[in-house]
Amino acid sequence: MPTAEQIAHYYEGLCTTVDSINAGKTAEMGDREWEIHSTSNIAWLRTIVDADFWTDEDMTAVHLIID
Amino acid sequence: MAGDIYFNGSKLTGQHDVKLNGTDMDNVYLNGTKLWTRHPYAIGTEIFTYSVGAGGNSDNLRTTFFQTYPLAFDAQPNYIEGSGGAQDSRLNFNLAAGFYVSFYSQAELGTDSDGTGASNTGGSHVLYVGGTVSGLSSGFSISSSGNGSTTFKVTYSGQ
Repeated sequence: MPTAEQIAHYYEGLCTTVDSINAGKTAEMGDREWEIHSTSNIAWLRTIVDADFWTDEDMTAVHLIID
Repeated sequence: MAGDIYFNGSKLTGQHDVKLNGTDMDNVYLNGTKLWTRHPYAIGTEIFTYSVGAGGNSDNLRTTFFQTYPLAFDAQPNYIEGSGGAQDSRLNFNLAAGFYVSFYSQAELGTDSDGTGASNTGGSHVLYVGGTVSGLSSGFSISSSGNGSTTFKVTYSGQ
């Protein structure tokens, strides 16, 4: 099992991913790049949200995207 | 897989644990049946580290790295989208049994260095390179697409 420090690190990455999706396509991104970027990250969120190492992290923002 | 033989209760995990008259054996047979094959690498050996930046070209994973470390791959990596140097390329690679991604770091999203979520033997992965983002999937505690570069390591587990 990951340590508390590792879990915090993973949660930070998760929040960055959520923020990236919510921010939408950047001016530098092509349409196809955004499509792949967003769909692959949303697919990842669907799996990681159920990981067995989370403790009491707030997943509200994740569920707003995936549900 | 190599190494699944025990001697006096201890698993043989080295590359050349079996000798005959002082000579290293590569295989052990009993009544014509292969019991054991030596490990191609010592367990825990880091086979290679691969890095690619957003907007970069990942084709050398498909060519040079596959040719240099053929035992690590089930087959030559293949594009499921795009091609070498093309924007939005997605390169699929399947690691052979006994090899796994032991480290994955994405410049924006962070690092998975404890193998969380990933198998420690084999595994199918996709390396994505876009114009501004890159990443590796799947099975990691770090997501598969973020700004900047991607680095991963392949290690031999022997399992």
